[in-house]
Amino acid sequence: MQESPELVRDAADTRGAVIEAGAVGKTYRAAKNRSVEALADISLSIRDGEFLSVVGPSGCGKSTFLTIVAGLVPASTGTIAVAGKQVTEPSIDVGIVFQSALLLDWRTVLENVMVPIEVMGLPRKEYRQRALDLLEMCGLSAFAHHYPWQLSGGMQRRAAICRALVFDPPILLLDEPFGALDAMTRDYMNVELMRIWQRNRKTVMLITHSIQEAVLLSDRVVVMSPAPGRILKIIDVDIPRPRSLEVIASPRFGAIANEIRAFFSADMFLAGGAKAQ
Amino acid sequence: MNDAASKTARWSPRALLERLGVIVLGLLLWEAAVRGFEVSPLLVPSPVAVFDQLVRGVMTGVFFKHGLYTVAATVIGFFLGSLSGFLIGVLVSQFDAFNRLIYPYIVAFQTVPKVALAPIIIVWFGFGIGSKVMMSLLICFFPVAVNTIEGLNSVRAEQIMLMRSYRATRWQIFRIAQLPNALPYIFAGLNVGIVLSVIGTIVGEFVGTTNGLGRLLLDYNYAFDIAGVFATLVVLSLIGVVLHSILRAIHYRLVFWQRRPDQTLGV
Repeated sequence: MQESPELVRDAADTRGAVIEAGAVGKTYRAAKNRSVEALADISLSIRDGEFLSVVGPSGCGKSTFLTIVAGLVPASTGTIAVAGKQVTEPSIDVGIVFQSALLLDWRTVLENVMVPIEVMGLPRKEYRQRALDLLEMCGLSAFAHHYPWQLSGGMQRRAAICRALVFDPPILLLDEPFGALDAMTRDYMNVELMRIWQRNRKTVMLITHSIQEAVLLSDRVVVMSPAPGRILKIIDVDIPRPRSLEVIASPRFGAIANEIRAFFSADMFLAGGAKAQ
Repeated sequence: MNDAASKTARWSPRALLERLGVIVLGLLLWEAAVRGFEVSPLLVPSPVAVFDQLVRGVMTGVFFKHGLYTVAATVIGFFLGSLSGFLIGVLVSQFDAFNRLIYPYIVAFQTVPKVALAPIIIVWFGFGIGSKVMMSLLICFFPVAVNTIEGLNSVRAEQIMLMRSYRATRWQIFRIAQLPNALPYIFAGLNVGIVLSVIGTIVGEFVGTTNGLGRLLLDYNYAFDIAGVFATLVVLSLIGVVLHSILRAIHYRLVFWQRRPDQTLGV
C-alpha cells in the first residue's frame, strides 16, 4: 500500500494543474453602498494529486476562496478553472467537507454518506458498496446503521469525509474540517486523513487555522494576509512521506512552521482584530 | 438513555401514587371546605355533586352527543387549519415573492385576537358546524404557519451549500434537508394549535349554536346548575388531554431523532 515517497512527489510534479486561479478577487456589497473586499488577486495553481493547505488569520477570506473554487459563490474578478473548465456552477468533480459535519440527524450514517449519490441520481446499489467500503476504511463499519447523534465528534467528521469521497471526486476541498475537535482527536484525524489521501490520491485543498496541521499534511502551504486576503507566500514542505506525528518534533518541521508563523506577527492580529470590530 | 430514565421515574408506582394522593387530598379539602363553610351550590358545587352530574351526563348520553360535535368541529378545523398553515409556510419560505408580499400580512393578522372574530364568523358561516370548524381552523393556522417557516428556514447555510455542491435541485434540498429539519418545529406548532383549536370551537359554540359542549356549558349556567358546568369542564379537559396525547404519540414516533421536544415557537 505504501509507495515510495520520492516517487509520489515526482509524479505529482509532472502532472498538470487541476485548480487554476488567476487573479481571483471577491468584493461583497455591504449596506449603504459600502463594499467589503474579502479577497484580492489570488493566483494559484494546484497540481493533480497535490495536498495544499491555506492558512491565514480569521476573516482573511480563505473560506470564501474555497466556496469560489467549489462554484458555490462567483468570483468578483479574475478567473478560476477546475480540471480545465471555467467554474460557473458546482461540479461533481469536487467533494467538500465543512467544519461542521452537517450530517442529517434523521438518516443513519450510511444513509448520510449516500446523500450525494441520491442527489446525483447515480446507481445506488453499486455505490452502496463503495459507501460501505469507505466507512470500513474510516473504521466506521460498526456504526453504518447508527444515527449521527450516537457518534462522537471525530466519528462524525470521518463520516463527513466518507460522504465527500463516495462519488469519487478527483478534488477534495476541506474547510477546517477538524476545527471543532479537541487537540488529541485532531491529531488522530490528521493521521487518518493522510492515510486516506495516500490511498486515494485526490487533489486536496485544506483551509485551516492550524500551522501544525498545514505543515504535517501538505506538499505546499499558502500563507494569506488579513482581509482583504492576499497570498503572502507559498511554502514548499519538503518533508518526505509517508509522515507520522513524529515528524512534528523534527528540526525541518519546526523550521517550516516558524517560517509560516513569522508572517503572523502580533501587529497583524491587532490590525485584523481592530478591523473585525 | 436520559429520556428513558426520566420516563420510568415519572411512571413509577411510587410517583403515580404520590400524584394520585395530591388529587385525592385536594378533592377531600374541597369537599370539607364546601360542607364546613356551607358554600352555596350556586357558587361552588361539592366534588360529590360534580361527580353525580358527570355520571348522569354520561348515562343520559348528553356528553357523548355534544362532545362528539365539539370534537368533530375541533379535529376537522385543526386538520384544515394545520394543512393550510403548513402549505402557506412552505410557500413563504420557498418563494421570495410570497415572503415579501404575503408574510407581513400574516404577521399583522396574527396579532388579531381570533376569538374576537367569532360573531362575524357566525354571521358568515351560520349556526351549524361550519362556523365552529372555521374558528378552530383560524386559531390553529398561525402557530403552524409560523413554525413551518421558522423550521424550513433554520437549516444551516452550510448545509444548503453542501447540497448545492452536489448540484441538488430546489426540490431535492427541500425534501432531503429542509422538510425533515422543520418537523420538530412543525410539531411544536401543532401541539400549540390543537389546544387552541379546542378553545376556538368552544368560543364558536358560545356565540351561537344548538350543539356542542360550549352550548351545554351555557345551558347549565343559565339553569344555575353549577355542578353541571363543572362536570362539562371535566369532559372538555379530558378531550383536550386525549387530543394532545394522540398528537404527542405521533410526534415522538415520527420525529424520533429529536432529543429536545420542548422547543416551542410562537403562538
